[in-house]
Amino acid sequence: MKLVQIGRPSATFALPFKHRAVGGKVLITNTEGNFLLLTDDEFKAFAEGTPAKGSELYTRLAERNFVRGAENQEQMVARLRARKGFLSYGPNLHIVVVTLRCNETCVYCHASRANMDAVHTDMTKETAERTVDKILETTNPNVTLEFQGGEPLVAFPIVQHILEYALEKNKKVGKQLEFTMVSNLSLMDEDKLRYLVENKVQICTSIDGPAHLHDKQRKLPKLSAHQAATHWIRRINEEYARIGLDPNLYHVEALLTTTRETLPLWKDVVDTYVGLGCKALFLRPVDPFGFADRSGPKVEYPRREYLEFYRSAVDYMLELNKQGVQILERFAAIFLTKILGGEDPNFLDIRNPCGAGIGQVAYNYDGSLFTCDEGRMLHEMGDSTFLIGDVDTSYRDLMGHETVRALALASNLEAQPDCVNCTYQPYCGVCPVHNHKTQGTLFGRMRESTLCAVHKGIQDYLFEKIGAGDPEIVSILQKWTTVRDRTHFLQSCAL
Amino acid sequence: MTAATLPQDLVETDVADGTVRLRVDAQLYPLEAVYAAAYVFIDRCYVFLDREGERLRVSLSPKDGALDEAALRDVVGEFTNELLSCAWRNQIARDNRATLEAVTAQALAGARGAPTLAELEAFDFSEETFDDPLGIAMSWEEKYKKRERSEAERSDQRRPPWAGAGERGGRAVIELRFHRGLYDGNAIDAALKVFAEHARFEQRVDDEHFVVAVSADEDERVVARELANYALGLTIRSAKTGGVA
Repeated sequence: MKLVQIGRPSATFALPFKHRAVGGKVLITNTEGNFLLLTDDEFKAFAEGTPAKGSELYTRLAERNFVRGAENQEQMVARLRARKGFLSYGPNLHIVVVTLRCNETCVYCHASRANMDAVHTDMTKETAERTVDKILETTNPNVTLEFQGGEPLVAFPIVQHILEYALEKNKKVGKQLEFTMVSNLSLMDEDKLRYLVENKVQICTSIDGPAHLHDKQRKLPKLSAHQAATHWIRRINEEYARIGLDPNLYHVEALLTTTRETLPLWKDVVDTYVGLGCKALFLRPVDPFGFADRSGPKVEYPRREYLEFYRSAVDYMLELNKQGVQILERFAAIFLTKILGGEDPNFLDIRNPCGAGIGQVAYNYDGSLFTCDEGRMLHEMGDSTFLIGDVDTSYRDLMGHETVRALALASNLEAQPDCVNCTYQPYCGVCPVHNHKTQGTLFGRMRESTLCAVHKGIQDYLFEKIGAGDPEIVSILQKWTTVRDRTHFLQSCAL
Repeated sequence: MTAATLPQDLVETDVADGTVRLRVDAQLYPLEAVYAAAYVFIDRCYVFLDREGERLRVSLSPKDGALDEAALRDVVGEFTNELLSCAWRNQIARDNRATLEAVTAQALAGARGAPTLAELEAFDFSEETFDDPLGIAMSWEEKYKKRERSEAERSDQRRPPWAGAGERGGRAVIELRFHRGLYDGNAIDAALKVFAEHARFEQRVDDEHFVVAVSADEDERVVARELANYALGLTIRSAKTGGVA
């Protein structure tokens, strides 16, 4: 380890900052999320308080509010407000599990799917209506209602009922309403597609990479799950183009679950996504929920190996971008929006405090309500810690539930050992449900957390890229922070 | 520091009893931190706290019945890591209290929104004291006479808290000795009421401890340990909220 030799640190020059050695430089950040990458000499001068007023280094430091007495307080307040704007509103993401039944069997299934004959896990119409009533009580003017399962296409009549009831009810409530559906697509047909496109439901699916890996991990009886999913991805994208939507903006989103077998296939994974016309790839590690808990030894891996996989895959994606291919990595885009964009994209799992309860609610098929999807997943595993009520519980009681309060506190990085001193604190977030599952405590111990290892490792990579100073790479990373237009999917904003 | 290298004067394993005991310097680790770490472990261990001079003694007995030295040392190693984390968190939560309160209040107020008129109407603004038919709010000193410990009891102080500590009707019973500086008497009372259908109890109080003799027809040891966990959980909750609910 290389150490910067600092003579006598100045107690008066710098405003509070955090620092970390990254890619041969020293990264400094402050509370409002400004950052600078300094050389060793620059960092030494900064720490000792010797940069002369008017010098290039002093100006750089002062512009980003690192110098005491030269700070722009209005700017600091505005930036903090931009980063914490989400605190003024309640949950905007409402995950509705319309059934636990699923026709695919995935080795890592986080949702603890039920067999196709388990019709008792279908949501009833009455529960569906009370669920929508509850959703529309949120204090957030923007509402995303996400159909999940199981496999939501198994219970398509309930999806239709919820959608139509929500649209009707919302005429009086006036929320900015959006619908999304997470589906394996294997039960899609032309009638369902027409209905979903006509009703502006954004469709997301799972692609685990090349066909042989996807089909090995996601079993569809007698058929290829990969073939079914990729057929419908292409078909849906065609339909979007047919109604005049820009294919660069409107296309099926796909999610990856990274298992041990995915790690050596980073290039095949990226190529698969690019080949399908996807513009984004989310390199998500496997979570310890659902069947993944049982199949852990088969699908899990040390996070050090995951980070090698991540670096290889994103390096390759950057090279493709240089050649004109549009493909971004979702983790990177989330962090870069905070790092380069100065805003919080409100990704609920990497937020401070996290979105459990105050940012999202998960509605189970039986009308029980959870702080988040992960909390519901644990419930299906027999741990109901994150159950906060049901569709008959008053909205204010749900939001004031002691578990919601506990999670808001436990995920506040200002109270979290390690995070409190971490250079990445302005951009990061913790998941108390993950902590609870893996370490038996909501607060968790970040030095032993696999989630922390992933977040730190990815941010190390991104700052290395930024610090390397290749203008083409920095320009690509900057483009990844662009918020994609999705106005077509907003119910009150018809084309 | 791995569990295997924890100093022997701080850690003592009792393989036969499935218990590992840790001595904690109360000057280094505030009681709030010990409570917090203990609470994290009550789902996987039976946890018992006691004082030993300037030190706190934490007894951990894994519920899965781990009975080998290595497993017990792993448990105590995990506990010491959690304890350190809790001690630090206790400190930074104090340091950053204003920020934490502001952010949490804004988040919850933003999520809940303003109360409705019906909710305001239903709110209980009265300050009348609550009824206490079970005598939970009454102190142990009021309910149970204090008496001096016998010499035999004094010599028994280092034994596991759930070891048989005496005889009643020719039968050994388990005595739980809850240190009065560490356990809330009201919490113990509430725990005894919850466990009343599973065991019989005799209570008394001495200089340092609330003493509960436990006798049950079945699973006496498990009942005693669960009771101790329950009382600890309520004590910690009480310390956080200012009273046993």
